[in-house]
Amino acid sequence: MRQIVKHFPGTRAVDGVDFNCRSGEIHCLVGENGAGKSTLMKLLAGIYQPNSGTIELEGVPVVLKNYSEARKRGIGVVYQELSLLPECTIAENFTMGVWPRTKGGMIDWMTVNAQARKIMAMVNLDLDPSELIKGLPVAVRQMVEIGKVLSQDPKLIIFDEPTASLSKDEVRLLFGIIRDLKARGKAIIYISHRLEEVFELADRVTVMKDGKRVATEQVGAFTEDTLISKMVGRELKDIFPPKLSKGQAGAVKFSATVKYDQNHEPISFEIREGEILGFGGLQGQGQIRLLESIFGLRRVKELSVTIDGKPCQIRNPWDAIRKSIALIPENRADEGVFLTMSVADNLSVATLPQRARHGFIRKKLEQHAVGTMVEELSVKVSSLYQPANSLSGGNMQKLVLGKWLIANPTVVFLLEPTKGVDVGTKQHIYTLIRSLAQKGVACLLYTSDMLELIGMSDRIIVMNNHAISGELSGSGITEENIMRAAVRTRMAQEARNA
Amino acid sequence: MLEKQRNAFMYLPVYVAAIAIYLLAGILQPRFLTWNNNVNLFTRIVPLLFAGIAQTFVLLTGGIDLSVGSIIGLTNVIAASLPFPDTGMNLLLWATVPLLVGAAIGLSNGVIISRWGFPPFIVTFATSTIWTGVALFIMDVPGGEISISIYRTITGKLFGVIPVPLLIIIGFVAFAHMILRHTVFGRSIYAIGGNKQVAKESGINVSRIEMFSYMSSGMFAALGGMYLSAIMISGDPLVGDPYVMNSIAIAVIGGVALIGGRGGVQGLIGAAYIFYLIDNLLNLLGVSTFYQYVAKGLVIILALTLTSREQGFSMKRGLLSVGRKAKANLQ
Amino acid sequence: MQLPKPTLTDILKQQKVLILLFCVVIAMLMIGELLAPGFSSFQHIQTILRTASFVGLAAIGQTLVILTGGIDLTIASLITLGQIFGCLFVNTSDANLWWAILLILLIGGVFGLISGLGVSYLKISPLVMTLAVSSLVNGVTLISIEGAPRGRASPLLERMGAGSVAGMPSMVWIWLLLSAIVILFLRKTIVGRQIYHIGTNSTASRYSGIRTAQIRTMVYVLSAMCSVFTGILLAGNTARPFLGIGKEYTMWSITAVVIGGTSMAGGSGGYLGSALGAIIIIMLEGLLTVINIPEAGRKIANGLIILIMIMIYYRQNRKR
Repeated sequence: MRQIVKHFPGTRAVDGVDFNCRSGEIHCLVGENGAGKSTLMKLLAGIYQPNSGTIELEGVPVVLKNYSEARKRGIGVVYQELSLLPECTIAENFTMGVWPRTKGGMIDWMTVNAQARKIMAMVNLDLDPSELIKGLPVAVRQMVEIGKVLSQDPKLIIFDEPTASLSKDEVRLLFGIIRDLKARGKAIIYISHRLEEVFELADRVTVMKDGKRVATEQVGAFTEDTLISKMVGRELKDIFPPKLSKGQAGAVKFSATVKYDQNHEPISFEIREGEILGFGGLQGQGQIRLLESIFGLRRVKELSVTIDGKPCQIRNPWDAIRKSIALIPENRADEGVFLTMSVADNLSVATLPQRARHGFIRKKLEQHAVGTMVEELSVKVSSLYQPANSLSGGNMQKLVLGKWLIANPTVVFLLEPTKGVDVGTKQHIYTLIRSLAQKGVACLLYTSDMLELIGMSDRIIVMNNHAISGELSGSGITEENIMRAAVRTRMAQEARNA
Repeated sequence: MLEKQRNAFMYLPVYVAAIAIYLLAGILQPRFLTWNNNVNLFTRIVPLLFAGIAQTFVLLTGGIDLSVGSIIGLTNVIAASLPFPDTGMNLLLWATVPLLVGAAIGLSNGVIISRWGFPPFIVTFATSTIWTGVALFIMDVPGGEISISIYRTITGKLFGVIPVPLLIIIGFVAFAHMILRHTVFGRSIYAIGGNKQVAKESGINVSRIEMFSYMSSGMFAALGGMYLSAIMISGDPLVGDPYVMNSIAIAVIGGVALIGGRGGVQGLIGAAYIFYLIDNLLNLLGVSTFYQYVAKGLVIILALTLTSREQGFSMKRGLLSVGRKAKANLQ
Repeated sequence: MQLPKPTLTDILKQQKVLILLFCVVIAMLMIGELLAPGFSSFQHIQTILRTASFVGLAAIGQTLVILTGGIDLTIASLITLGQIFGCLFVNTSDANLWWAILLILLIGGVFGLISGLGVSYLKISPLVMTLAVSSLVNGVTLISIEGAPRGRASPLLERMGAGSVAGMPSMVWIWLLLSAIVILFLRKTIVGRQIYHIGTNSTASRYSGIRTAQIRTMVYVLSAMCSVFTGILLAGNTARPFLGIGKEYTMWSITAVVIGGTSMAGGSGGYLGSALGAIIIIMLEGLLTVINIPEAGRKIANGLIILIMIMIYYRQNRKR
């Protein structure tokens, strides 16, 4: 029986996608970072509204204005970001919003606890319902989250990367639960990067790429290789500046070794003059943490950094900046831009001492420096003093870049430098990064956009689970190789451990 | 950890400290342990407890109510200005009018803050001035009259043994606790304070609950004002002033988190005791009572340092301020 | 790149708040003159300015603290401390004045340091931290004088606090000087600019290399020092010490800052607004006294004004 039919032509994130899922079926959704899987599911869960197209549940078209409505119609989502309240108990989290009451109008705790036990039984948890969420390890919280969703007895359940923090045994448990749900006639959509899971669970698989649906087949029609190639295959567009040829890189410019804590294997890498070093792998595998730690934003057990052969001590961002290191952060709204302050202020903030005498900012110098940077980056402004939040996303990102370029850094960490940026600006930024590298600046690039990573990097370090799982260079830089290093390492490790 | 364990962690220290100070005082001055002195203590703690309960309701949602003091003052003055409560009808007025006024003021705060979306700090800061002004308007110098019989009842003893103030303390704290712990309204307050977005998605009407939390605050403050009118047999428009900051202080010492979602009224009695016992103890030690200010300040700082650490303040990825426990949980 | 220079209308648009405040001041002067001739006389304006200067000085620290997104409740207790210790140390002798000022500034600074450290490093909410420190300050003050205020201001101090120089009250000159310093500090210096960044987005400030913890702490120290200094000058004004003299100043300083358009969330506003706010508060008091409104009415009026200003200023924020 058909559960959903939907297509949204014209939306950038999800581009004319038809998708359906049957009851009693596990339908896996795969694709690279940014392929549109999460967005598609958010549309289904009512969190986003489609620009066009329809959603049908059991043949009936529906409009879902928010998640509550979706829930009422029997759709449940198990997120990566847990929606649990840490200061409340398990039982309370289950019962939030639908408390059973006694005749006196008070909450009927006996029923609440009994219900909680029943729900926990569904996910094989044997805990005291009065356990606080905040004391539970993340994996258990995930199970509670799943229980919470199941308790609303949904007809369609969406799992978005549920096994990210689960151990092997817990994953097995989860799969048992999922299969059980399938047997009970639920429709299940399962998003995952981990292909071995896909092959184990799926009845059908849909591959998405660049917002489009590329293929939908019974799982038996794929092999791992064909699946990967369907996920990645596309033409590289001609928007990246030429890379270094073999052997063109200079001496080692920057090297770092980081050890997070006692139990952690140290990560080290180095980068040579003129090259752009990309960090790849699946999202959340520690790439950002690594770069932010080197910049001094996070406390680590051991950190050693050398620039041009000289060791440097970095304990906080202030030290890093003094050593001419710059970091373009991942979330510009929270970490990079001062939205209510002017363009000039934003560009100036990291380098104020450069344009000041005795602590007093010299307005003329600032205007000149800022104006020059605005021109260099072609930031579209009508006044240097307009507030940053009046700019487009692309221009705001240029502000963040400009802020650091004014500092003439020796080393630059770029975290998702073209996130939320239009194509034209992207191109501009790519050219910028390459020219920086040519000038001798060590550029470390982290991006979840595979195309960008491959197009820009001379060398790529792939990370998985806070460790380096692969290194690629030259002709070895292909999407398949990156995916393999990012994805298969786990299986290989398990094979080795077995 | 179990809820019971967390509660023990949160509330025991306050009571241990309170009992310790109490015993210390008793050792130094046996007269301290007499029944009379204790009754005296009960009587004096009540208004602070009412203020603390009021503040707790609002703090738990993540807000703050700076108008608690002015509501106490205003309702106090109203209570003392009503027709002399010697008849049943007038008694009813004394018991209900101030309460309704408190509720109305609280509700108005709630509307401005929650419905219209203005920041709680300044809004209640502003309204507190307004209501104090109204109180001064009604009675510019302390005056008014309450019947002696109310005074006698409030300060009397039930069955000749149990002091009424003690009953009030236990009764109202239990009542507040029951609301917060066992009603949908109460649990919704915790949900909102914990994570407004999640609460909204669970179907909770956030702005309505917030409005009612301010209304509850107003009502408990009104109870404080009424009580004070009975105790002092008169009204004083400025009587509520010291209670604002003290209510925040005892809430925080009693385990309520300023950001909301955590804590309750269970710790208030202990915290209020600590506050009142400090000067008593200092007195008995022969130390100048001025040290009470120093002591109170230090107690608050101590309590905050302990609770801040445990909460693991910033939940953003690994920024240096995250406490160790929270960090382990996030990664 | 030659960007067009900002025109006069651009400047006016940016400074909406200050213009509004100026208009309010002028309006109040006119209304006052109507209701009570002589209200806007030079002499009366002098009196208003002298009284407002104390509130204005108290508002310096509060403005700085609120700009970083915090709040300072220690102002009242520190003003009292400044006044009491001022009289105590000076004790009618001009010779004592200078070291008395230094010593009191130091003492204030220590309390400010405690507040700042608690807020910046222990991550304690500024509201409760400054509340606690305020209690500490009161205690220390009372203990030091054993509850009995003694001493008296010296002639020089009295000239500063209550006298006039070149036709204007000395306090006004002092206020002018300090205001200029603060405004210059906030607009022109690196640290001043960084304060705005911290208040706007403290995470991005860290990411941009600003030493947020140190600057936050410093701001509380400065505020404390301003407060005690105000207290010393107040001693000059009242000549004798009074316990609880500072009591209203926390409320007034917050009111002045709010009326002045500085956002309670931090990151926007400035001292000029607060200074005008201080003048408006005192003028309002004056107006209401002149038309014989009792204290009750004044309080209500004060509260309503703040409420109205909040609704005007925060209207924009809500639309998001």
